[in-house]
Amino acid sequence: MEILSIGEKIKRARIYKGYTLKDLCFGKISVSKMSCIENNKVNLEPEVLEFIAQKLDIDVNYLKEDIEEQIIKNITMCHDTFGNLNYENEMLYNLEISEDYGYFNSAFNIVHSLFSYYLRFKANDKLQGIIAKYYELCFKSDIEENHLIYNMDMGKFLFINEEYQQAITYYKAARSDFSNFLVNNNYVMEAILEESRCEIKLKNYKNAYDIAKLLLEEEKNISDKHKLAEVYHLVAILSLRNNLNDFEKLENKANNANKEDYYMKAENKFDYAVIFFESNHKNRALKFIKESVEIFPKEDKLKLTKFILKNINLLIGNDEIEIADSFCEDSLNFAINLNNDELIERAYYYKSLILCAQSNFISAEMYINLSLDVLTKFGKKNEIYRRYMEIGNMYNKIGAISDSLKYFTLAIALMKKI
Amino acid sequence: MLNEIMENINEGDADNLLSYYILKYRISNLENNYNESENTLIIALDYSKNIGNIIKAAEIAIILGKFYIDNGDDKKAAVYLNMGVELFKEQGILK
Repeated sequence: MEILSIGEKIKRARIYKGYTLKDLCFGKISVSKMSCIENNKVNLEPEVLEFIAQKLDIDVNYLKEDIEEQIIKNITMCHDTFGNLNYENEMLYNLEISEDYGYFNSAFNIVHSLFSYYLRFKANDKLQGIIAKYYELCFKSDIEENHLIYNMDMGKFLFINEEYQQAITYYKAARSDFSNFLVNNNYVMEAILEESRCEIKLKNYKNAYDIAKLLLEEEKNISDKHKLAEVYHLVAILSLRNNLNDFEKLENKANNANKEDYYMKAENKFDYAVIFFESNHKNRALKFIKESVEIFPKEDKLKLTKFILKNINLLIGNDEIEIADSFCEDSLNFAINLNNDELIERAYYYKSLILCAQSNFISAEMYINLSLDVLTKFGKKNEIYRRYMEIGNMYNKIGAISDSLKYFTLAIALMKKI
Repeated sequence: MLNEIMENINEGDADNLLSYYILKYRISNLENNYNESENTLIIALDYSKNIGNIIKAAEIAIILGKFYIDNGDDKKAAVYLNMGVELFKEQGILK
């Protein structure tokens, strides 16, 4: 929405009404003063403002609204349309006005919102382009908390670009700036969680555990139950990674904190299964997988199918073919009922891998070709390339030399187009 | 034209030399010149292995396999298919 100064609003309304400056003054205000008012050179007394509003037949509150108020109103309106096509342009327009009029706190809020918007859509070029301005506004604004917000945003930006070590620097800065946990509960907690996640990405599990444990020490001060569950789950995972003995206790705490959120409970169990497979504790991994599928809510078939397929993938990757097979039929039926190509393709593909592992090559061939048919509808070239390679490899395993060479040749030809 | 391309490839320009071999193979194959096609691919395969371009070597082994199967030599096709698969595995492209 266009932002106008009080003088600009008066001038526009006057011209719209067809009044001259003299008409508007009505003998009560001098023409020269009215000219200064329209050019924003003098501040208006409330009674003069009332008089002008009445004369121009416009709402006095509209007239009174100054630039900063309009910017704040606009930002609020923009937030309501987050993700709309005009969102970015509206925000950039308000940013420009804020900077022109020296409203740096509003400008900071806008650039923070834009940064979050670009992060959400992984618009790396835009993010790179806005960083210098973000840094500049962080120092021009006079709110101390803005440094924390900037550090957190930079941490997120570096994290999605896999620059974990650099991201840690920003998260550390964020939590050291605001070390009083009680006052800045959410920010500090978020900074610690993210720093720990960076250490996990770097496979520094000991560091990750030590950092995440800082949150356990503050558990009584964490009021948000979902966040508390997230903390317990993260420390539980790190306890497993570090072969410590407090996993069961933490797992229970995470489970209790999640209360009726069975999606989270199931996802947590899946995460534990992944780690147990990695550490060769197959029985414990299978126990968690079975439990996770059992408790996953059954109402939303799309979510359920995605979750089952994720489990099947984990099971196939760990040679647990029979159990994977027991889940596969359901996922294929759900995917077909949902008429979702991506899920159908996955289900066919996993079925073919299972059949191949069971040496049922004829059926495996049929399913992998079905999955390829679906994949060609929506798959990217590199996905189709990988599939051709896998099919080539499968035919090679079963001794079908001609078919194997055919698919490898297709893959090589496609590779040149990628 | 092939000679002209060859003359313009600088020494050590491995990528262009490999592209030249593949082009030469295609032309020989279109001309039904079995020996020339086979020799060109074998030279290209050895060359790509020598310069350490294993992915290219794997691709050429597959092309060679396809060449043999198209010409009814299943045994040689199997040998080169196997070589290609092993080279792809070496590069982590296949499991």
